[in-house]
Amino acid sequence: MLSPYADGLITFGVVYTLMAAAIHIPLLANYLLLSQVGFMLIASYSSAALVLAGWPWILAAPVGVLASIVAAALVGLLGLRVKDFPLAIASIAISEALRLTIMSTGILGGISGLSGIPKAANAQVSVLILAAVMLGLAWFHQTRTCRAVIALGDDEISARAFGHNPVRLKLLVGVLSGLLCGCAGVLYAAYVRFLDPNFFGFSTLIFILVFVVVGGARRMFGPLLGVALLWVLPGYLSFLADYRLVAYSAVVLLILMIDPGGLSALAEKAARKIFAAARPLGRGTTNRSIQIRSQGGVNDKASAHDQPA
Amino acid sequence: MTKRVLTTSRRDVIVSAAATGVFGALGGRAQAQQSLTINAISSRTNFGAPFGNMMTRGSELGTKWVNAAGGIAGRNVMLNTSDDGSDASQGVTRMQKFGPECNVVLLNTLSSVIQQVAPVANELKTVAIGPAISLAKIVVDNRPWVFTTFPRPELGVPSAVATWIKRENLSRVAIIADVQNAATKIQVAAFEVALKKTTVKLADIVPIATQDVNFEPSVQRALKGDPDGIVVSSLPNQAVGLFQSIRNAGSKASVFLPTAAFVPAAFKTVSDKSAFDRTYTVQVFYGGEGASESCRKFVQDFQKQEGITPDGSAAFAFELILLLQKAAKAGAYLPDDLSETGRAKLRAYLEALDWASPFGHVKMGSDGVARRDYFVVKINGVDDLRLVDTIAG
Repeated sequence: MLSPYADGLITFGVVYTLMAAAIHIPLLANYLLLSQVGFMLIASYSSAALVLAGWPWILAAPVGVLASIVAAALVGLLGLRVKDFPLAIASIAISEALRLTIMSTGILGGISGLSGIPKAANAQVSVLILAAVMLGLAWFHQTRTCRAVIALGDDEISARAFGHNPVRLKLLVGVLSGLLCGCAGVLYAAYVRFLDPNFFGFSTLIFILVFVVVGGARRMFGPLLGVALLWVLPGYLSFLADYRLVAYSAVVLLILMIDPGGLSALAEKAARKIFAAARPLGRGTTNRSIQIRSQGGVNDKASAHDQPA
Repeated sequence: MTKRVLTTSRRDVIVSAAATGVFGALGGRAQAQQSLTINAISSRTNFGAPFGNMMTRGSELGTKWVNAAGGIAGRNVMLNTSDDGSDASQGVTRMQKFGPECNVVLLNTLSSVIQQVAPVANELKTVAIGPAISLAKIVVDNRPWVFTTFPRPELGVPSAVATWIKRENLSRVAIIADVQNAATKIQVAAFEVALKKTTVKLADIVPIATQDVNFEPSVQRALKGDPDGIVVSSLPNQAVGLFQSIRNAGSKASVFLPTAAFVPAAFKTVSDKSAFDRTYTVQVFYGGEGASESCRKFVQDFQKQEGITPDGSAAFAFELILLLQKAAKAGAYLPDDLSETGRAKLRAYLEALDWASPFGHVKMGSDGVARRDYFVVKINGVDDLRLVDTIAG
């Protein structure tokens, strides 16, 4: 059985990974949609409100996720008219407006927050959700649609020329982002049992963005690696006391200086080197082709078509 | 005669090093067993740092005092403060780490963090005491394991306001308040109620946001009604900016800074002493002239150690360490007994607390919130506070 500390580390780690993944997906399309914290707020509050009204979590959770998806789709429509930096600002503003609405109007607890939410999540539940999400992401990254999204991010005009529909793709990434935010929001509400509107603010967005950037914004495992390092690391730096944040910042800077692609880029390069060094003779490589190379007469076409020995 | 030469073989060196290591480890282990670690969750960084650092410094001074008096149950006390970065999720994981390892955790952190930490303390059946939890609801909703030695701010406000109005002969008051902070919002409601009981006109309530950095528009709006009294209800880092903006605008209105707003360390940047003319605060801690001997000694020691005047949160964090020493002497604090029975003893002790602390009489209510006196104080300077009225808690 997990200790309470491990339970909390893992559950919060999963929440932040889901949020980091929710930011990562639009970034594949160079789509600066940054309302994810607002979508998480919607999911958290809507599911918590339903549970407090007597609904079971099994019914309230999907409603919370759906609310987040709908919000993301609506905000995604904004992205069809606004791009790049203005889109980033506008989407952050929408997120802040949602938070301030709760704080100013007093709805759903207002500034005092929403308390008394029954606990319904733990590390085991979180890991199951994360596993499902990562499998889904892995599948998505293999699809043609994902390649189209990446192509859109590289050059929208070329992507259009190749027949990709930017409107459909942008809406799709928005919806996927909303789905992940919804899962994170519901999990968060079910674990912490108290919702403070101040949590769903700009500082949380920056906190999660750091995970994405350090982990690697363009790779599937980037968010997971970023969270694994930067969420777990501070706990082990407590012996540094007041210099803890200096060390934390130094680690972040070091990683980005070594490779701006982040941890996942570093991991990918390391994996390539390891597998290249360890690769046995196999498909496409025969003793004959090695002999040809060693004699200095490289015939790439011949070696590529050789059958395994 | 053969000259005897003392040689050291490699084997001797290795054996000596190993022996040193073993003795060192054993000695260290013995040292660790002799000392007693008290865990605290503090906001040392981010926006909660002004409060968290003040409380941590108070706890550290308390630890020094207690160790100088023989420690707790004959053991040297070591304070372990863990930074939550003013973030609730980090506060929660800290409590999850400490909760199973000890039977009391000090909450030297923000109310917004404690709101999520408190349910965890209850779940783990660990006594959690905050020296500055100003939102009584947090404690009340998370009984029986969560306590605060900080009194409900709104209880002292009505009498404090009446004293202020009478002394300054006010007729028109404006309130500038952070409406995005739950604690200050409660204070504002208490101010409104208090003002309604007087003949003073409430000119305006000007809202500000926690992240605001430009106070000119808010101050201009507050001064429009030409008030002769202004209440500044915000966190200390903003209260300083608002206060300076009011004085920079040329206003000589009397300013009232409730408990959360006036933290001496934050106001050190106000270099012009005349800015404090007609400035008051209501505090739950007063260490100036007329205070008890031990209270004044605490203030002197704190000033010597930190170079600043302590506030209520520092004082109560200091007091908590003394309280644990007192509880240990009464057989209620058993650090090595992590059973529910052992923990419940400390809980029961706190529930029945009725104590002449160095800072005045402290009585714990059945709701887990302390009852204490309030002090209306005239601020002549950051280090020059004068008591004008005491309101019984």
